[in-house]
Amino acid sequence: MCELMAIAAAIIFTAVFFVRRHSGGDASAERTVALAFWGAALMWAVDCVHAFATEGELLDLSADDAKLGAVVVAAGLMLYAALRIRRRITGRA
Amino acid sequence: MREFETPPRNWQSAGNPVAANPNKRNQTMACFTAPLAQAVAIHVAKPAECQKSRNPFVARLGVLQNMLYGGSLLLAIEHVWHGEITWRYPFLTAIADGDVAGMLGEIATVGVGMAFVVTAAWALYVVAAEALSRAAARQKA
Repeated sequence: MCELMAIAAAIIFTAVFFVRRHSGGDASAERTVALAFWGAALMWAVDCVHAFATEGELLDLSADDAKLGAVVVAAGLMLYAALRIRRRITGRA
Repeated sequence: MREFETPPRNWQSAGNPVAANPNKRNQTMACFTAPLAQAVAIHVAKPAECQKSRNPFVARLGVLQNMLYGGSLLLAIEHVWHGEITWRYPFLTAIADGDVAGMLGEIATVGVGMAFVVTAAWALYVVAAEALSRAAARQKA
């Protein structure tokens, strides 16, 4: 579930990045967070393949893993908020 | 008649963190350190004005760095969640439990695999972006 939530967050932030860039705004914060989620999703994909090879289970769909996914998405949103605040204060991302 | 020792009830979970904790899928201990080390190495080694480089791979090193740093940060949160990173020295429970060899083996397999997959995805992105920009330049000309 954590892997699926990271992929969903990466797709959403990538879409937000393209919309913001198309409208002419500074989309560097969206770009950074989207790349962070894509990096995490790729890393968890390797972890899933390793889990499948060793335990025979590709995806963990437990409630505990969903909670972890929510915490990870919340951490990504906090990173996004921090980058936006930094951009507003310093004028650069 | 010889009596056989009956195994204890929790013999499957004894010494096995996966069986002891069903929420923990596999023994992920410190796999995020390999991509983090790669991100730090790129941070140190990349040229100051790399975005202006004519080499597309050097010019887009920032993308790889963001993926590695961000992915490592989010994976570190997972490790804190599973109790594999603690706030006390030596910070990794695998070291505190004396399973250094298992941890290094996991970094060498899963961790290096993660770094390789992220780098391969970034290389594909650079090749695709370069091909698209060349096609756009050809259409303009």
